[in-house]
Amino acid sequence: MSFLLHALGFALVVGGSTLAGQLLAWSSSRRPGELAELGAGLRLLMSQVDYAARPLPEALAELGRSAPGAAGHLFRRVGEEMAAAPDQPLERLWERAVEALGEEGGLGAADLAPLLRLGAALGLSHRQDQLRHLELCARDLGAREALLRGEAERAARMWRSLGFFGGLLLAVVAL
Amino acid sequence: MALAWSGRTEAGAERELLRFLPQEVRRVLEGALAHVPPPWEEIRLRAGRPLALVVRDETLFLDEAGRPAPAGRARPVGAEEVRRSLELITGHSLYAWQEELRQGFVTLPGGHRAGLAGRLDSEGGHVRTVREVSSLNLRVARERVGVARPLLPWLLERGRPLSALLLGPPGSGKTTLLRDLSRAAGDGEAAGGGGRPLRTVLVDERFEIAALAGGEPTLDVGAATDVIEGGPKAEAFAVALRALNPELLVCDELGRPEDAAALGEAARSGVAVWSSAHAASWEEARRRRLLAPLLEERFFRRVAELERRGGRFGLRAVRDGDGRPLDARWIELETGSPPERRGGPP
Repeated sequence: MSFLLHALGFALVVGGSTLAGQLLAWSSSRRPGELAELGAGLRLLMSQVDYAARPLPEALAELGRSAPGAAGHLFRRVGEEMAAAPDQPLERLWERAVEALGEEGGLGAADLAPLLRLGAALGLSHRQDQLRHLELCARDLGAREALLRGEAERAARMWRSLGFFGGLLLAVVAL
Repeated sequence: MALAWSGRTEAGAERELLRFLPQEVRRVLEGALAHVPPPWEEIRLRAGRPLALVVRDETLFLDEAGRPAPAGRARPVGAEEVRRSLELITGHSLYAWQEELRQGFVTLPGGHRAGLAGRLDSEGGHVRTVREVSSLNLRVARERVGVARPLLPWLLERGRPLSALLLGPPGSGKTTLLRDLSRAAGDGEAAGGGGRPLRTVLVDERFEIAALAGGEPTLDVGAATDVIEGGPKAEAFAVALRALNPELLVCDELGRPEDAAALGEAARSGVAVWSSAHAASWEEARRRRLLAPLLEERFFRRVAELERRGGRFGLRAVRDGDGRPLDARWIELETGSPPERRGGPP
């Protein structure tokens, strides 16, 4: 009976620790994933600007429904705020939505900096210039994503190993 | 003669424009509605200079409460306020209005027009857009049902329309008059009062005569009037002649050589055209390179000269195709019976 209890405790400690490691590993890969979604969303916005010449309120409302994950979230939020407060400068609405994205998701200030820079130019110039700004932002986000993805893979391996072996060590010492 | 402001009160037209202005400017102009009774013709925003209205051809500077004031005591407009107005006018999307900005104006819902001044951004000798906009001129579009009635008898012969040209300087009411001519033709008022509507095609290159919204004209241009909006006149005329079997084409502002060629095509098809051009008089039109050949070829059977006197719109003369005056009396187009208003404030 005592052996069974020990075995169960051992399994719980190792299993729990491994799960925690997996969660941390998933969390470290979330940032590049969100950056990839934002990059893909900006490319969709470029199509709206370039081919459809669709005004931002309409383009953002549509992309809020169709763009992936973080990008859809950002576009939807800006679109809703534009509808609610058309008087406000777009730069301010965009900035607020980007900051909210950082608070609610896993992205930090350095990850969001290209988006904040884009907000100062969005909608304020002719088509070619808008495309240049969007392209630059998408490229900056892509570079940041590539950097984080390498780091994330190493961190994910570390967290998975640490979770399993840490749990194992704890179980051996404690039990 | 009864005139009617159909669907919109005078202040309604002004209020439509206020939503394209930042809150602080809007507040001043809402105050001005009490101190400077509409109709207003223009709202002027010039960065670093006083907020102004043009009313009956006269410029009035406004103080913080919207009262007329000398320039020194008037409320200045900030460059940021001009920039924010442009954001509101273009829906925060300048790129979507690139072609309009290149021409220096944006047509707003209701047919109002925002004219722009600032630094021109050119490429290859052509204006690409206006950057750093420093001035905005919001022109209030007016729908005046009935203003065309004094002119109509001159433009018809046994119930059939004759090609006609309206001449006048900017702000002389050409667009307002053309809109009502289109309405009268499409409603059957033009056909000698017989009630037979003329199959009319309105070519509204600048979106300001009919001001379509979702395919429906927001201004009254006639029940039997088809509207072709945007696009160059020459192409629009070709579409109209090919597909819409018109008896009458109505279009605004002849200004390009292609426009003259398009009119020639319409003439060969036996379709009358009612149009307008910038020129103060017949003599001035004869000196204009674009208009001279059209007048020499007697393309237009009627030429009407418009003029403003003391802030009132009117007809100065109606001429035949040879330039002989048929009626040289001053006929005021704005007054008559007091406006009969339909509908309440929006």
